[in-house]
Amino acid sequence: MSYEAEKMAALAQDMYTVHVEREHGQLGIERLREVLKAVHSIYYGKRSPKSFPDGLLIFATLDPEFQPLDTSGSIEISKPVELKRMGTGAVVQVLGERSLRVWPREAIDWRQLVEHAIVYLFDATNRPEDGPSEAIALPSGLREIDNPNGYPSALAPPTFWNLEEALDYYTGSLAASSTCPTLREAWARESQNRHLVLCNKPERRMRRSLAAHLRSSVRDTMSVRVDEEQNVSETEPVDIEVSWSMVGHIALIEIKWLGQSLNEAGDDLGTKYADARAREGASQLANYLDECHERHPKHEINGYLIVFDARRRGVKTWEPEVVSKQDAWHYRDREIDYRDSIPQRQDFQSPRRLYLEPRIAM
Amino acid sequence: MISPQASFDTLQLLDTVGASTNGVTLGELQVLDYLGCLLSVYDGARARDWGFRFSVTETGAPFAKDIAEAVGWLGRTGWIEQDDRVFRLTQGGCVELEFQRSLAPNDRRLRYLDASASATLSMPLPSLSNALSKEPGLNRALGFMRHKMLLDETSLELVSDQFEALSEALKRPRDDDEDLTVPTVVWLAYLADEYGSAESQAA
Repeated sequence: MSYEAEKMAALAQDMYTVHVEREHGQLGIERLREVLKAVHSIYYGKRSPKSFPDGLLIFATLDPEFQPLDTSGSIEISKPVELKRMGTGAVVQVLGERSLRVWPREAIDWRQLVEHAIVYLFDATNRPEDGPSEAIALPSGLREIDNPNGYPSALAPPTFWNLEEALDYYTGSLAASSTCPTLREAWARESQNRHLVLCNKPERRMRRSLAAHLRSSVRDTMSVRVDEEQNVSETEPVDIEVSWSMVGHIALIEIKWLGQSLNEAGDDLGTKYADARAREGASQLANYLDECHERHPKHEINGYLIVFDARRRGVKTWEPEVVSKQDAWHYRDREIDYRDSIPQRQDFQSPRRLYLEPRIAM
Repeated sequence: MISPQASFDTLQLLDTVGASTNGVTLGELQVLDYLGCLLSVYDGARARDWGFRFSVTETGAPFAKDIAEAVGWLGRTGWIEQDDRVFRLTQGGCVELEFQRSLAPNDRRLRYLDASASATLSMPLPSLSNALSKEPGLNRALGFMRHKMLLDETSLELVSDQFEALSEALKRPRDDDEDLTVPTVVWLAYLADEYGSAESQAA
């Protein structure tokens, strides 16, 4: 098998669509489409995934005539918006293009459905570390729906019409509590997982996490392209470049982090960055903007300095014994001292501080 | 003259994708149609039989003038409507689409357009656009901006190599009855993985 084929086969092995086809054939794929359309219409309608704390199960039977559940206590609705009236959990059967049957969420075991139906499961109670919160249930078991960005639902991620809104969402919903699995990898694997010390060279994971979110969520009239490590100068590449097709807009994003990281050997504290590092980022970004303007004189170019703030007080060793909540949260409301490093120019947007919270109760 | 193929593709994609994404932008229509065209190549068809050609924008996105013209014309006929940045099918457009679906030349296109639309159920539209930008033809065109037209001989050879690998990976020959959803999502995941990021959504 060629290298490309091996790589594709490895990817296919983890994909629920592939397993649906293997176990239920073409009919299974058709029903999967109906189930996924129902998921979209519910989540993009009036009910967010978080509004189902007691879980959501959506299924479509392979044989449309087959009814595997007792219909007493259920209602038939024609629009997902009617789900608004339902409670904090639901079982939903897709009956056709425009019709759903809904039961209150009860103890229905997905195993009783999988031989005859394609089943989607959403479990809001699972924490990311505990395993999948979304899955397709098949006779062979649960197939996790991968959620690399840490959205409430991987199937219905948020979308944004401008970069600022996408950055706001990332700041509050994905970065603050390190909800994004890629960003979570930026923390040193300390025994109590308190998010006090970053891993060695965490910048790559931070960049990947933010770039993946922007790639998944930013829409525009024409295509939006998100690239990492783009050469805008002859010396160093900018971390992320976002370019809007046909309209000549470019956004340059420079990422810096503050805090304490692990050394390369992983057995002691390594690099430590404080406010001066953010100031370096400001002058670096200003240079990138100048060079980008030179290369693209007709484009509208904006620069964004994003600072991942993981500063902690009182961390003297990489796996400290006791760290008080006051020390852990000390920098939560302490802004970065940029002194006079922020240039007064219109293309330089206000720097954003992404405070990465410790996992120590306030 | 408005391309009948581009007109049909626009109506069909707005119907199948627009409902679950609350409308589709012109850029997204271009990407989804280009994906449909590539899937027809996967299926053994010739790219030039798609009915119109694609060029590349300066950021590496596909662009067919015929689609842009069809969107303008369909808007004037009232079969589609624009709401801010997105386009949606109108009631009149639904009726027209039903008629156009019954036309024999469109029968084969449905197979590719539906596979393209299916991919959006498991992969967000922005992710799909970014993944497809790693397709050999677009990637190559971006690297050498003098190649403005897509689907040239070299690009088709490169993408055909990937399609060979795809058939090999899925361990099945390509045939007319094969549903194209699985090959489509696996190929897009492979392209997304080219970013070396957590982007690949295991669909």
